[in-house]
Amino acid sequence: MLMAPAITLILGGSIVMAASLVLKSGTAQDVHGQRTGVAVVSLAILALAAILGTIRSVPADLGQGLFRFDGTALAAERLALLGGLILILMSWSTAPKANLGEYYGCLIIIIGGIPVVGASNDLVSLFLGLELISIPTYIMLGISKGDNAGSEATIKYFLLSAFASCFFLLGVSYLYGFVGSTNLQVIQSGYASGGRLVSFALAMVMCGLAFRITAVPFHFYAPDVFEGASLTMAAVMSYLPKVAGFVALIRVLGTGLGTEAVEVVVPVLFVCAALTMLVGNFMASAQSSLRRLLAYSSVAHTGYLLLALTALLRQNAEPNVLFSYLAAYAAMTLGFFACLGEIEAAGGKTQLVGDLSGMFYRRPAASIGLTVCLISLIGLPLTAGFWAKFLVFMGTVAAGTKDPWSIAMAVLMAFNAVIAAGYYWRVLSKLFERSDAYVPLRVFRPSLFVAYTICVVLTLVWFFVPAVM
Amino acid sequence: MLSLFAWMVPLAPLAGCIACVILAFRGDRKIAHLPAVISLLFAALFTLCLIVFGAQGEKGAVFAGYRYLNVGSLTVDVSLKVDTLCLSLLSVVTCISAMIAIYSRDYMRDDPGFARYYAVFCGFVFSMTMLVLSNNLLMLYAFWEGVGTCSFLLIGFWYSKPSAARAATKAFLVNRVADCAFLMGILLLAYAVGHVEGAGASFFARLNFDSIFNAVPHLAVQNPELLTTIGFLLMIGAIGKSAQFPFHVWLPDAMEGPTPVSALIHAATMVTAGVYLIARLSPLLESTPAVLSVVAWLGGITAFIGAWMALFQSDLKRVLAYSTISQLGYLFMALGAGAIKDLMVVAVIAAMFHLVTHAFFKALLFLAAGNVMHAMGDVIDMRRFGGLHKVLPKTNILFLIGAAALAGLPPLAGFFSKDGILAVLAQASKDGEYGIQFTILLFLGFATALMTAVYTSRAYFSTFWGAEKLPEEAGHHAHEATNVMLAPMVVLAVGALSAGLLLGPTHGIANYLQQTQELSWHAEHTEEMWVMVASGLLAVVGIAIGYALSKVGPSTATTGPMVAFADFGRNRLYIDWLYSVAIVSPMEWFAAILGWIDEQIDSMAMQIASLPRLFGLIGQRFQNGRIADYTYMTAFGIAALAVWIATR
Repeated sequence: MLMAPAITLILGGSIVMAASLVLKSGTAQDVHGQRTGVAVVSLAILALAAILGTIRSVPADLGQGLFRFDGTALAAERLALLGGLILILMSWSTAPKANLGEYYGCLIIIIGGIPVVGASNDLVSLFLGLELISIPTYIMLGISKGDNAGSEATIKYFLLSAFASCFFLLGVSYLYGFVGSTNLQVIQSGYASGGRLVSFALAMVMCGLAFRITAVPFHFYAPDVFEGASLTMAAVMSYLPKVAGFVALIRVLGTGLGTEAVEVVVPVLFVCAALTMLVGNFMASAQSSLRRLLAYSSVAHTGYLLLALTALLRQNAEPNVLFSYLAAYAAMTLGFFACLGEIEAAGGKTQLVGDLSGMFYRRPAASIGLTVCLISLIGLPLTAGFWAKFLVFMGTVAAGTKDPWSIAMAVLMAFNAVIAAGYYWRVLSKLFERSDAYVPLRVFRPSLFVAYTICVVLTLVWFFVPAVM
Repeated sequence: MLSLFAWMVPLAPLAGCIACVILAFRGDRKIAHLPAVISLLFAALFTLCLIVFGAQGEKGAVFAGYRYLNVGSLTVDVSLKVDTLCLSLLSVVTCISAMIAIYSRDYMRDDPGFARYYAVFCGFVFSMTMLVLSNNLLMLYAFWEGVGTCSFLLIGFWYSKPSAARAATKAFLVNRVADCAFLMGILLLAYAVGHVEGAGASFFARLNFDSIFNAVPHLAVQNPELLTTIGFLLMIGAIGKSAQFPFHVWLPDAMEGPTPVSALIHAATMVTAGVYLIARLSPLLESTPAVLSVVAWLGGITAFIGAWMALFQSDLKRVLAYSTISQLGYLFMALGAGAIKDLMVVAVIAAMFHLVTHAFFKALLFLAAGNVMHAMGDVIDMRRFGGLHKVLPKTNILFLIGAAALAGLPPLAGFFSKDGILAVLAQASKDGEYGIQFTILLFLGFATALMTAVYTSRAYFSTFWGAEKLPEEAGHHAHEATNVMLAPMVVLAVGALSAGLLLGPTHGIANYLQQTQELSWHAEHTEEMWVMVASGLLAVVGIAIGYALSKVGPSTATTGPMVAFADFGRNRLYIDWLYSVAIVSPMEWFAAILGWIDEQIDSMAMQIASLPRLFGLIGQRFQNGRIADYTYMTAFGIAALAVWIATR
């Protein structure tokens, strides 16, 4: 019963997908009704999963089986439900009309895959969970936008994802070969005596997962996919795989690593984080396309998250440092996409940064939402993004007494935050640019409005009550 | 239950503030007063509940809120401290703000910034109530800045008017100087408390009032010089916010804001925050008599020069502004009497008493001045109107009540509370060490009382009596204020009439305040009959002189000591001029030099700032859209990693 929310989501997703058999065709009017209907059903499934999640009682003995329901699993589930709520609200008016059932079915299954990854205590179930996330993602990318750019994005993502999964499986096979078991707890206890072979295997596993979190050098697909896919799909891509990837990393590496293993893993993560931050921010500052800018910004945030992971591995920070960053990231990034979605739904364009020029005078509510999210992305006070960055920074600095490199990483992170502020500020200043020939955008989409209102409120509230994050 | 009440007091205005902000964005400006007034009435109601239900409980209580932060050794718990000292100010703040919010509905009716006005108004009340309720000095400081910000926004409410924008900046900058010292004092205090055994490790928790007061006796023995320095720095913060000499220059200019704001912020509530701070910290300052004696001197000087300047203003609102400065000076003078051993409690009680009564009658006077201004088409120069008792019959009576209370006519509020302060000073003048100082201050106090009566009656008689004279701006529609404006004024008038009699001779406020833990020990209070008689007489004499002056009009003499006296008063004692020559001009020179240096650095920084973009453009060559290239680069990355790991 512990996995009830995940099971509900996956089953519900399958049912919605099966429903697509009867949903097809019909006049425009019918499609409108179906649209609302499927979205409401999806929300109901999500609500059911959430309710099942709250009434379940977690036993003290967590066991050694395929799944292990500890704090990580709980956090992953909550993050998935939070993201799922916002993404379904965003999809309400943006989902492709022809493939409603498939679209929502895939989305719910992806959301259900994250708790599976989060609770995995075995390489087999972990891989199952990861594939539960990636395969529906291919389908969604394919159906969400029918044009050439969309197809290109889909193929790119598919090929590179397969490529990365290979490395993951390669590393996993080494681990299995070395320890003789697929149980993660058994494997983790073997790290200490592992030597180079295990280090190599871990590096391969990390490479495989680095693709999901868009770490450098696995980030190449991100800008192309963000640009080619629909806006909602870009939002999905920026959040759900990232949560899954980080949760999987925590699962494989474990939070109780010995010092030898930490010495192997942390430098790798440091190099990865440094490259990811620098490449993400440098590339983002050169973009004139808003979508690509967001893709690189998502890459840069992966860099900060990797630092959070090192702090977590070394037990230098609160255990929730990574999850609170992810929660803040969910609120600010999904909120940003939801605001863009509303502008797009109202008839505005959001492909280029310049498209947002003077948006405050055309669409004030969404622009205020964008402003709050941008401030949070920069990491300024009064928003959740500030605490998220601050906690990561403190966690990294705390390791500095033993490891001078981690001070260097903290400095690098601060440096990167400044670069990031530069290009976010560019977007922000565009919003308030004045000119005389502005056509107000008046179409109102309640679902998108609710979506970004939730994000904005969370972003602001979490600043004052960070403990809830 | 009490905890809920305590939290609702600040949260109700916060909710009102948020509602008004939303309304301000939507442009529905005609209904913004509803959330504001309702939330403020709720705040007042909850305060009343706190007073009524809290009366059964003994001492003060601390209500924990939530843990805001827990990073490393820094733990921040947000909590409220409720005792009778804070409740007495809290009731003043919430009652008067609710009244003024009601008044403002018609006063601000035609202003395009209606919703914005109420948003900042509620924001101010939120900050002020949090300031009063804070259990921690650092949190108090945060809301201290909060009220400062709201004050800045409201002084500059008509920001397109250059004089208003300048006044707002001036108020902000002057306060900044004082707040800087205040912050240094707080940090130094946290450092000092940290060196006392038994103090908590958390920087924030050390600044809880209880832990400060626990540490003070140790500090007074260990390091009295440090304690005195801290006391001075904290005092500078207090006198900055309360517009005491030499920081008083911002308050008269603050009258550029809407009149109800002047009544609320710059007469009744915010400017008394400094008094509250000193009262709150009285256990600390008690052990630094040197600081308190400076407080007394500054208060005395301010009271005197404030009254002096008020004598020679022709702008009705400015008369009231200088009068506020002068009355605040009284409060500080009273607090300063705490320098004498065992007199602190009496001093705090006297100051708080006058604070409460002053809040009522000064708010009333400002609102009455607002009525005059409204009727006269925004003309407020007393030389341009007169004899308004027929045009504004009700305002006339209300102004009269306020003015009589300010002048100290028995048995109105101002008489009893002012008498209390003078009695404390008289008591202090019998002390051996500081006796002479307080004898002089007592004399200053009496002189100020006389001058107060003079300028008040002059302002009253020249506005409402004599030949009827209306400015052109008033047009033909000079009219009495609406009932919505008059009703809250009546409430304030009742307060001004009765508060003194109810709280003073009965020792009501003294007994109430002594329920506060820090003020609980028995206070020796002696009645000084001759002080009471003298101040009553002075009030009557002063009113007579003021009446005569309003008949005579401006003097025509060109030489003599009286002319110099008047000249100084009219020109604000040349203090503003001195500041601009001695401080502002050199600072501007310095700023110009820094500006030049900044330009150089800025152009350098711009060069550096273009680097990330350059790197990004280079990186874009690799992002060429070809999947094969991506795969190669990824594979290369993995290979490099594998080699690195394998060769370590």
